[in-house]
Amino acid sequence: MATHTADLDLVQSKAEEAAQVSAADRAMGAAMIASGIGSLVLGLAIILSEVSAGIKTFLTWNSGVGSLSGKTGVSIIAFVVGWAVLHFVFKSRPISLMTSFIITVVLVALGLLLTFPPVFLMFGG
Amino acid sequence: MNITDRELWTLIHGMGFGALFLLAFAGGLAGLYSLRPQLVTEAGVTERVSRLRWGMVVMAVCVWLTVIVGTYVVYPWYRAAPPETVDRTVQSETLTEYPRYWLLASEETAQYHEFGMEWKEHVAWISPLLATVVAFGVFRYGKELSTRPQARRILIAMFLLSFAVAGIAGVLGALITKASPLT
Repeated sequence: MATHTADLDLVQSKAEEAAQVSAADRAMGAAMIASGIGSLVLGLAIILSEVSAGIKTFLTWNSGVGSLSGKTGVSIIAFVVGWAVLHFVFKSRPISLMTSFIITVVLVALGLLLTFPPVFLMFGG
Repeated sequence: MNITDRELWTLIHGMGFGALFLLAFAGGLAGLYSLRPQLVTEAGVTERVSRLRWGMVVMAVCVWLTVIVGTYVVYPWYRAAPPETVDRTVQSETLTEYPRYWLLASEETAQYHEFGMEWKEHVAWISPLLATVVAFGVFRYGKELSTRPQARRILIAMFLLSFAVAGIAGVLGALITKASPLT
């Protein structure tokens, strides 16, 4: 009985927390985290193209630009798709603006780190 | 005075779109920072928000155009390979038409490519993502930004991050162009 009451309290507390997150915060949170996802995907694409010649060829969407075209292409796709998905997810399960910002900073920092040549060249051997 | 197509597009990329974003940054930052009820009247907030909205959109478009022109117009000229008949180990007059290979031909300049260009070409693409989010945030919050200090501070932080990333790419681009200009 006590556990059931505690569960109800938790559900109510989460519902109240969600109600406090404004529509603008939800939209902004989705956009911010999507930019972090795009940054991280860019970094991961750079690492993967260093590790595998096959992936480097796959990411060469434009012969003049080389694999940079695919690396940036998948990053933009991740940004747009991530934004759309999070926009709908946050309508029912919002997180606070500050939490969204912290997640974004971590993702962007990881993305930046993976674009740094001494880091990604370690994977190229 | 004669400007080649390559020089013109390099100017459009760096001194046009790129410089426009970096120069407009100060105005955007001041606009965001001063958007407080204790600093401006309600009429002032309305006027500033309207200006800030379109200013941020123009800046985001500038960053996108900078990276797109840089990657799809200028970069292919930079990374083009010389014919097999050209010696790639000597910084000859012929090799100056192929900046990537000219830089790699000497240990003294190789780092301009191996570190400078390798970082610039990748990191620059993070800036438009962040600038787009800032423009979206200014549009979405609008006048609400003047009464939401946390949202305003977070937008300023994202804006600073976007500028810092564009700044890294800009400085590296200037150094590479100085070492081996596209002619």
